[in-house]
Amino acid sequence: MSTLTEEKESTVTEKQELTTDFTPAADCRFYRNAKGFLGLELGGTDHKRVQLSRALPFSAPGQYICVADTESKEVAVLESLGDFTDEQRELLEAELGIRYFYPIVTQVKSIKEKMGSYYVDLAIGDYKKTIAVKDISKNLKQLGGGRIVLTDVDGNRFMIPDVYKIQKKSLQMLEPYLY
Amino acid sequence: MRITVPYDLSPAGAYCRGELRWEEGTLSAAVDGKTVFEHALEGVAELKQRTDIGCGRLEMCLRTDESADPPGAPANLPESENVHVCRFSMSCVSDVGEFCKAVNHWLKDGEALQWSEDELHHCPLCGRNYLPGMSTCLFCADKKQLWRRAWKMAGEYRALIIIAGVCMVICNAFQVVAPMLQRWLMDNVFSTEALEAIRGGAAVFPYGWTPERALWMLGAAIALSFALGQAFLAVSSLTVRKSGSYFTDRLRCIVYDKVQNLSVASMQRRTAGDLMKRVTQDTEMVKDFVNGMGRAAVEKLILLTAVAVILFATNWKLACFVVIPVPLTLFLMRQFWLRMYSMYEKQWVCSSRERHVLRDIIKGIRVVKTFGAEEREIEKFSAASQNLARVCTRNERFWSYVNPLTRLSLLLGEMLMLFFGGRMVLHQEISAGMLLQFTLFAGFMNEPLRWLAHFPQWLAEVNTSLVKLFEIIDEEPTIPQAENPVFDPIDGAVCFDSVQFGYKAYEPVLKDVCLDIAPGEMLGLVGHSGAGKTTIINLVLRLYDTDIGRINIGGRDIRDYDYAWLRENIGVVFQETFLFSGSIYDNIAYAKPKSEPAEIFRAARLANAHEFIIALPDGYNTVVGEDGHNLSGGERQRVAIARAVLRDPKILILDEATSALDPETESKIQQALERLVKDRTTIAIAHRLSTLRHASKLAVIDKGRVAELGTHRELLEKKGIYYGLVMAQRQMNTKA
Repeated sequence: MSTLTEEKESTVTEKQELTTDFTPAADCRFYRNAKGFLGLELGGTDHKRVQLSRALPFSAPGQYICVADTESKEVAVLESLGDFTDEQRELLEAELGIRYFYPIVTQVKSIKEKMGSYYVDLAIGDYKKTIAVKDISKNLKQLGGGRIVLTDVDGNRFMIPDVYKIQKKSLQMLEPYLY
Repeated sequence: MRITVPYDLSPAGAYCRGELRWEEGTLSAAVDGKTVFEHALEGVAELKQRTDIGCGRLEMCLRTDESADPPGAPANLPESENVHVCRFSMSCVSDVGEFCKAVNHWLKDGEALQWSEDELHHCPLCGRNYLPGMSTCLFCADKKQLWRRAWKMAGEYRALIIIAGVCMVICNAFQVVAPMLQRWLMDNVFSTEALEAIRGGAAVFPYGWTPERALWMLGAAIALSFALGQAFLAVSSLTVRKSGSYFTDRLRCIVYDKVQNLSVASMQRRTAGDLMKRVTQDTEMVKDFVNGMGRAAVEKLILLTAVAVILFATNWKLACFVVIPVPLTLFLMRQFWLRMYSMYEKQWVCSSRERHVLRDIIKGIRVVKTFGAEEREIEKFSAASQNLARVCTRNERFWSYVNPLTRLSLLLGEMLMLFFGGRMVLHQEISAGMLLQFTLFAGFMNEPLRWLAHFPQWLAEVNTSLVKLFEIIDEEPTIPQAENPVFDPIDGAVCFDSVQFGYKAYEPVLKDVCLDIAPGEMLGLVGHSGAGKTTIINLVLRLYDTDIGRINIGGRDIRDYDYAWLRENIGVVFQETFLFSGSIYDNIAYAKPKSEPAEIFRAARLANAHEFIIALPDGYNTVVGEDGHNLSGGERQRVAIARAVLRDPKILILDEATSALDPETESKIQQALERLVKDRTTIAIAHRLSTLRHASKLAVIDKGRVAELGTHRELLEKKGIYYGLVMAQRQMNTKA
């Protein structure tokens, strides 16, 4: 008898796990703790330090954000940053800015092949950087809508939000590798 | 002790030039020389490097204040109380990691680690990060030094290479003779004056030759010079090919030998493909260069110089017309090929993408059909196919427009020369024969020029290969052999004495592991995956050396033994068995190649493998491995067990040897193993806990530490982690 109820219970929880319930924005209160880390008060529990992860970092960076505690246990899933008050949203956006580092490329100065690797001179705002890319056809990813992510040998990712909107010269430089 | 490493991000995520410093018990960070962070290391438990996406950060983990907190509280404050030190991009991850390792070691033991610039992953000269799997900078490697080394390595083949060079010079000299003879023919036989003189009966030819005879002799001379030139060319190419092949063979053996002796740590830094590429492709690259490009480069350069000298010596004005278009042509050729190269690479990627889509569809056809996704897949494929067609058409169009143009530019020099040379002939400044000679020589120059446009790229490629090869050759083994290795008999007692180890030194996988296994005992290792069980085994096998602490076997540090001797005394059966291409017999005998057939059969019997092998049509001669007979998982496992016991090892290691098998096979293997573990020290890992019921004791490994140690009964009574694992498995079994 008891095993039967147990089984019933387990199917119920499995079903629940298949549909993600988004945590209502009104229930969450994010804050910065004394050490500068993001904390979350939710349903009477104070998670003193949480980590944010985007479920769809490229296609929906401002939506579907998972919040996990220091033991990597998921404590909340946020549907959209737009649901939050300005103050809370700023806090979350700042934290995502720390967690995700995609320098935005404003200009591609040159692409040179040397000894089997490509050396790309980039401008990131006013900052100039030369990166080494191995196997450019694999490491230059087109994400649709002109968005491009370029991964260098160290694992840094550089983002071009819309390749058709940057300078014509930069586009010409990249053109041979866009296919 | 003072250590500094660079870091590169400000808290807001802007690039900066930062420096992390550890000096006299203080950790500090500075940007452009201005200190932005400072914290004493007192009260700090450890430094922790966290990896985010595309960046990382360094934090300090603090110790609890012992006086304030009740005894028994955790040693470290929770992560929310960490102190943030700095942020950095992925370029600094390795360097900051090494920094953490050094500081953490000091925090734990109060000892300073040896620190050298070699620990860093960027070139000390140019600051560029090394490419993955490399520890030499491709930019700063001294190219001359590279070739000097290669030349030294060529050893006795150097003489052959020199002979080849001399033959080449002679061959070119003969090639140059023909146009000069043709010029003589033109001027002395076919010119109007000469013809008139001949008709007048004057003796214009040496040795009183008749015109007929002179023609014959000249023809023969041209043919002979050509034949001799070709003969020397053949000799030269034969010798260089021979020496090139021998040289690469030697190089390949040296590299292969080195690869075999590399420690597992440096093997894992590189992929199998990368290593194979170094042994085969990189050496082949050097060979191709020596045999082909390098030889041809010498040939073309000699020819070019010889022709240029002759041209300028005969008539410098005309020579200028030949030479002036050269830089332009070279430049155009190079631009053309660069463009072509990127266009064809694009085509290549498109076609491989098309193939990829097709392969996906065909391989996953069952999935496609089950989800009724045929339409979608067809669309995907036709999109890829159209894309390829578009790129191909564009490339063909470019090729058909531009190729004639480059050819034309190549001809430009010749046309200029013909025009101005013709005018000079008309003004009787030069003879018609000289113009002919010039045209012929200009033709000689075209080919080498076209060729030299590619040369820098080839040279760069072979330089890269040489750097990579020498890097392997120069690598110092990280598992050093003891100076006076010991070959003492090993009795099977294994003892871990506060062992700490991590694959990346800043992320310890094992912490303070102490284990004592008496000879003949069986120790079962249990724990969640990733807890560090396999790492313990890797350390016993000395595939890695401990970072801190020591492992004793038979009362002696395992580092004292000869490592081949040590491994000879340890038999291992892994979860995934690897059988080499060859017969079953050879695969078992792999452990001890000189064993008698009777020993092999005994080992196979012990492993419960004899029965099924005999039942195969080819018995022990059955070929297994990549293209051989397909053995089932259980059969392969039993062959592997036979291989492990053939040497009659004192210590037996079973790493999940019976998982992934059906219960019947498992019981057969279990039976075999029970026979084996008698009188042998055994260390066994198993997820199925029933496999370990014969173990003398069990060690539960949790987060790199020995969490529980005792017999099955003792651990059950303790109701700790082991109890939880047993209960979970029981529940699963009853459900099944």
